[in-house]
Amino acid sequence: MRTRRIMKDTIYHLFVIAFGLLMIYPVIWMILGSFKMKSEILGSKAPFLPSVWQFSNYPDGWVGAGMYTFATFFKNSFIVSILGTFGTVLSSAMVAYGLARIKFKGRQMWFTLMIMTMLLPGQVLMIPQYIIWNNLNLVGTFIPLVLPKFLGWPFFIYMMMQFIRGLPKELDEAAMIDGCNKYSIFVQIILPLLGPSIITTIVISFYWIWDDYMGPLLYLSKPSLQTVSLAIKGFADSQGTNFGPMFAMSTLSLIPVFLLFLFFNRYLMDGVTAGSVKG
Amino acid sequence: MQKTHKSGLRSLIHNDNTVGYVFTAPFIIGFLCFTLIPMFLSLYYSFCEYKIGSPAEWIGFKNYLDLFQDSKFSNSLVVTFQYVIVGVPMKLVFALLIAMLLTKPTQAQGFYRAVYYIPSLIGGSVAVALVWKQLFGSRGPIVTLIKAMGVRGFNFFGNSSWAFIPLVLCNAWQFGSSMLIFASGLKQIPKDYYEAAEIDGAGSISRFFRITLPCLSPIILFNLIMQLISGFMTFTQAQIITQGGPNYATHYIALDIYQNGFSFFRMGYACAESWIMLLIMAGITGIIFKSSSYWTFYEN
Amino acid sequence: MKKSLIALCLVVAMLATMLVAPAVAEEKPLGWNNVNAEGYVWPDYTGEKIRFMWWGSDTRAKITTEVVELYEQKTGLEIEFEYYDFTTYFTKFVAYQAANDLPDVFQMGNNWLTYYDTIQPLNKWIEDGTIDTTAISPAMLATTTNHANGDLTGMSLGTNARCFCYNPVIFDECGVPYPTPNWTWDEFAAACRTITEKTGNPAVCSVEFNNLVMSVVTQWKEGYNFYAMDGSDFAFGGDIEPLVYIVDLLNTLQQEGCIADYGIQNEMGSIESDWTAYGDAAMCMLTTNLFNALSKVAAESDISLELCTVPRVYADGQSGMVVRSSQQISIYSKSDKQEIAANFVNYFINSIEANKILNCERGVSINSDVLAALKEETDAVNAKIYTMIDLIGSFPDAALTSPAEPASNEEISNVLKAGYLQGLAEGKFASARECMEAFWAEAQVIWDKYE
Repeated sequence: MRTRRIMKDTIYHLFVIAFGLLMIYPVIWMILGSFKMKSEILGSKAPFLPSVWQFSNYPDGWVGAGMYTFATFFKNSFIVSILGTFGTVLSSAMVAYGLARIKFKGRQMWFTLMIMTMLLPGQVLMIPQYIIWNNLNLVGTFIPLVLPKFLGWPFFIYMMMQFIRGLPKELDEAAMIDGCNKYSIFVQIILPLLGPSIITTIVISFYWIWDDYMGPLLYLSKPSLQTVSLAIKGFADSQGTNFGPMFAMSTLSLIPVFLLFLFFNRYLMDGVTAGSVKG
Repeated sequence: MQKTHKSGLRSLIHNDNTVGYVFTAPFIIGFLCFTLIPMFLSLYYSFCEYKIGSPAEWIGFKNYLDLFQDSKFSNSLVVTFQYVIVGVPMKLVFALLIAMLLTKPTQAQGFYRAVYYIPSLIGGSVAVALVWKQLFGSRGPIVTLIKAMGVRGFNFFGNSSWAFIPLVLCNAWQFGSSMLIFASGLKQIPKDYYEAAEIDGAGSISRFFRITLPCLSPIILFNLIMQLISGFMTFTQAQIITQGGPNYATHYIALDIYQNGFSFFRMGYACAESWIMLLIMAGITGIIFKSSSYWTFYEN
Repeated sequence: MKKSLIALCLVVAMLATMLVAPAVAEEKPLGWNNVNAEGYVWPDYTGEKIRFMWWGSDTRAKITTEVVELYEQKTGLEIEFEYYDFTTYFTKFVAYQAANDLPDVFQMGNNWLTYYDTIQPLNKWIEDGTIDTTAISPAMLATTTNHANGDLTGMSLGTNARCFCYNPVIFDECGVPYPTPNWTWDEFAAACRTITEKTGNPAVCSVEFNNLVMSVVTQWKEGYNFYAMDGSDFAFGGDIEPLVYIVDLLNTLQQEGCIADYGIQNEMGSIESDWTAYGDAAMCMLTTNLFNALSKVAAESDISLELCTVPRVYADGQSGMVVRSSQQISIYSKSDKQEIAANFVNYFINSIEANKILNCERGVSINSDVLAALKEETDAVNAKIYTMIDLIGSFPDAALTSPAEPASNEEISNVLKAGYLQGLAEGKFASARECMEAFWAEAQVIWDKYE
């Protein structure tokens, strides 16, 4: 019995590790690429390991095009991502509660409209939206990137709605009897129980904002305001790309999002209780 | 007098309609300010000949009529459906399996999850495009393997029947956010359900079908809808890896919209395409929502 | 309707400049604004600000920023700049265009006809000498001129040409003679077959198929061009023979494995991945300003590459090659700082000091003084580019075959390559003739859509 268990565990770990290696091969390839010369990155017979480790790719990449270093771009990315994530969590949780738990007139309509907004490709909304922000004289600031996040992000609203719907309604009813109203239920009952989905929202939305480059491209023109994602794109050109420095900066840009995941993932694992539900 | 006034205010504040609009206010404000007008404009433009920078000229249904005869558009629809039908289930099943695999309580769980999540963190970067071209390229390991099995002259990026495979796999490979959402859904399932089932003597397969799947069904619905939408709008990977080729085999609808709007300067036409797409997607999501009442279980 | 309105405005503007111009010309001697002249007095723009936008790599950003800063120091002007990679550049450009908020000075490609409304013709500043053209030949100005109305749409930031490059070592090993300046397609095909047979690799890697098709139209017969010089029509009378000839040849070579198949073509994200840089292929097609980047990668594997011309149909016939503007610098039509912008453009194009920093990264400088100064200090790779540009410039037909890209070109090129040529390779057409007949029919339909 015991040996069978050990066997099973070993197979499990072996499988997870082997498959995991396959999964992160491209990531390892990119990280190794950040230490390579260009011909070793691009050649169809390129070696897996760099023949000569090019550590200079990191300082070269960091300096970027000269005027501003990646210190500026990281700072900008952090500002946009942190504010944006905060706004997303706050507003999406509120709206999700409203749409999932409160039976008000027009609820179905707003829900349908919210889903509709996700069905139109960004490419056709982009220019009209740009013109609105331009008329508000806010292009060239972080506001067009951050403010909309405080107005709910349909993806996360709908996600949280589904989580809220998974919570037993008796909880609300019991709280009502205890003297709670619908505002305090949100703060005292729903928000704490939404733990896992809030954490998921933080991790995913932070990364999406961090990685987005269309928004920064449209709304942040000056190099001093650019974000990491946009600055990395600046290495690429059909006339010749500095792949080594580009991969070096891409690797650095992974670190914050990865650390954020590591930090919050603890709360998504079993054993750590963050609002566990007892039905 | 004052008291009734106060209670009137109280009941107004606590009225379901008030509460509902207070909570949904952020979305409603955002929708009215930044989405409604662009949406209406895109609908209006779809009836116009419109080149960005010049005034739009009303041409009625011409864009829509032209679309029905546009073989490039119908080809885009076909290949997009192909991508969605193959890609979306693959990604969802993959994400769910891995999420379940990685809920097994072991010391290394956090580490494992991180490993499986990292691929999703490099997104649509240039690095992904390059490594994918090398992996699936004519001298890459996969083609070498296929050639070793005796298939001659095979390649992915020059063959319109197979070019979508690398894209579908790239999409499935970046399952991190779906996995994370499944994982948090799994975490929300009350432990005592499983304990009760175990006492009843249910095996792991029966526990999966009797508890996990039903309890997770709202989340499955969510991931399904979202993946469908993002599948229909797939853009970045096709843009950076295959540029829509070869012979339009990966020229997905979003690429066509972008190309018409920004490269060929027919924004009105691009808007018409978008609205046809919207109708198709609305139909599909509508059917799924309707059917979902038979297979999703909410706690009430 | 709208076009005629614009034309009317242009005529009025031209009349206005003609009325003013003589007065100015009397006061100022020829070449008064030559920034290279000794004792040149820089204008004082303290407190003024203009915006400048370009596309390109971080290398380009570095050198351009340096030049911008130099100008700021000299004149006190503040230049707010931004730069993007090529694809995102035009997305941003369109957003700015939609909001009527483009930078005062911007980089523009050969697709300027598409963005015509945004461009201020430079003619008046050429006439009054603000943009000094004493060292720029009329032929160079012609590369950025709209031949339909004589408007100068911008100043070329440098010229380039589409040509081939080859690895002489592989040619030697296979016993194939090097390409001559007037080698023919038959010689090209023979060289390809020998090399592929001996090396087992495709002889040619990247090829811009659609451009070859269009050049062969020019080579076919004197007077033929794919598009007319002013971009107003096709200019080969619907004679699809040249199209069939070249498409058949390229397709046959591709099927024989002498030219890399579309699988490999599509794997090449940029010129730097090209197999010629790694010694795997003997030739590739490129534009001269990419030769620097390609040579740099090749040098990492100790490979030295040479440039050669595009093969011709007849050894004594037309070359079909074009020295064209690689990209240009233009002034925004709605800018209220056009005078200052013109002075900045003048500096950017003509200053020897600035162009020593820019070092022909955007293309071979159009200013002969600048070019002479650069040639004195050039490295081996740039020297090859200069030689090739000079060679093509010496072909009698080269100056005549620089037609404007009509707005429909983007779409026509796209369907030619993605639809027809790749379709033929996949066997969707019975023959090159059938394929080109279908293409020509669709090209006309597309053309009409833009009329």
